Amino acid sequence: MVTNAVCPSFYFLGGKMIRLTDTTLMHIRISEALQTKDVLSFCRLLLRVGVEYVQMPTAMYSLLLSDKSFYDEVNKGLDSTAKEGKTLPTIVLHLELEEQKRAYPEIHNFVCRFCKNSDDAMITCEHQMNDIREVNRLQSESKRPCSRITGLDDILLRNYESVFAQIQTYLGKNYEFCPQNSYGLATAAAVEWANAGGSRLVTAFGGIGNTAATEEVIMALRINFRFHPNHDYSILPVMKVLFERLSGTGFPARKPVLGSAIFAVEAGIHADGISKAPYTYEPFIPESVGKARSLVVGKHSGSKAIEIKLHDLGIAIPEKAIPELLIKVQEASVLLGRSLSDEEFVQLVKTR
Amino acid sequence: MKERRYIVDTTLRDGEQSPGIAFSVSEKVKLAGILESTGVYQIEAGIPALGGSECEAIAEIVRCRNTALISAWNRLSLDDISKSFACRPDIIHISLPVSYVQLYVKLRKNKKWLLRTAVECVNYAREHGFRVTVGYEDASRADIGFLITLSEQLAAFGVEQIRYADTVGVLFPSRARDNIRTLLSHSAIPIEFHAHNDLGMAVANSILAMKGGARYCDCTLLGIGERAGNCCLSSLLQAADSTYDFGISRRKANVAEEQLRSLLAENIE
Repeated sequence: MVTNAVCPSFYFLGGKMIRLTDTTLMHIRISEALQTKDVLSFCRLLLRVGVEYVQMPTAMYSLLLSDKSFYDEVNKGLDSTAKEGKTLPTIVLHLELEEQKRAYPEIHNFVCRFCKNSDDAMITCEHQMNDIREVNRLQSESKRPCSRITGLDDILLRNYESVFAQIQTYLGKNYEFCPQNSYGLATAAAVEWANAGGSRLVTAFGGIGNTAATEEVIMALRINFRFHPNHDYSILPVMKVLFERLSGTGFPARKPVLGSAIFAVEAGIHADGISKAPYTYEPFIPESVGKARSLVVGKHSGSKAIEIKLHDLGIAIPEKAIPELLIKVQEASVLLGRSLSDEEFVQLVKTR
Repeated sequence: MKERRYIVDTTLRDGEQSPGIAFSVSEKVKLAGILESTGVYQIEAGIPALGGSECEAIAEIVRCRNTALISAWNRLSLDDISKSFACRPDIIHISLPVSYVQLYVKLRKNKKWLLRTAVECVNYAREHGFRVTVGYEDASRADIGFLITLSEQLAAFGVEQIRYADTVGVLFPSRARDNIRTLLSHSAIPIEFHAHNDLGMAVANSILAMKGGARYCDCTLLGIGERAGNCCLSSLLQAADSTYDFGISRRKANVAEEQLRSLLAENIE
């Protein structure tokens, strides 16, 4: 069910809050085709799934200011950590140079890679690290109010728990981690960071920009750390559509959490298990992420799957005819090199 | 020197279970040949209980292979296992539903039944001259104490390898590593780790499971498999080839994935 309520926006991990910053908008190309309303809708949905901060380049921010609702919300001072009345995540502006900050007095959060001023609590200094040996240079950053570590793509291949502890020794707790995904390990690194005591994560929807995928991190934190926020994840498919429109890219059918085929089931053993209790073969219920389960029949179907499919299609046949129909389904599937559509299945039933 | 780890490829079993995919006999045999050429240690060729063309394919894969071990997947059932015999695989793999939800809700059985039936099935396969490996289905949601007890008892009946399956893909890396370590600290049976990618962590979980001592790692070409898929072979090699010696050519693995991609065309993307 989609609700309008803005829910608590932090993930609790053993009583500790996890703050998520989403950087999707850093990777959206600004063009004439880009619809401001789509960007704002996407941002509002980010807040609904628990993302408290959204990072964007100054050009995107300037574009969004042309929208009155965005302009009003930012200038009413709602761009803060106060939750009351918020419809947008807190804005984090990405600056090329920290001096650019002066042009945005209404904004309180910035990220900049080239920081000289170590005292400015509004500016998070981003450190790109491609090797864990570079962590040692963070010793000189200990006085900076807030830092972000971006990279460490292969940290899970190393003794990452020691590295996380070392970083915390140097930077204290006010630092962010933005794991990058060159080895396909970013989501896992983000989850391990939280597990090791980190409290601020930087992600992007679908993992765009070589980062951890926001939706994967959210679901992993929810499932593994038993935090059940009242967030409405059934809006994820709407976010996916908006994202695809904004980015011009789509997702594979098996993309974790978002893919169109992740709740399709064919194997007999799975169909049987799910018919008894869905959680036998599902990590979370499809409806919780705005999806629906679907049963397809094919080479790997069993009698139970055939029974269920017949029932779903409102077709009654004698029980003793099911084994023979199952063999026909399996043979047809092998011939076609794929599962059967409902129409093909009905045709087989008619010609049995 | 890199530590040796072994790839068990399950493209032809768990991969093919991905809805929308159905290989013919000739496709399975061809894919097995491609997999063998990459250097995978073991190929899980299919499920003999499906009968017909599946048995034909597995038998032909066994006949054509050179170096890779060929295994056949079985439910905990004497009938299923007897169908495997005709395929003459090197290894008969028997899957044990070990979580309470699998055991009590799906099968409506209990632990005592599970152990008794497992021993019966293992003995049956071994008496017919087959090597036996056992899979702990849904191990990541099972009581680790129960798994330890099972391993201790199965070791006495000649089980050579235990597959620890994160069937619904809910593990995270350090938990995968710790669970494998715990199992290995109580039982000497080598562990094979089987990941699913529901939370986007199949590769990471597999790597940390190997860090925890898992000697074998299950993969599929292109990561095909149930729901969000399994651990993708090329992704695993990209991430961990510098850490472990898998005995596999990355280039050949990439070529194998391209060949599968062509075969499946639009079905998987």
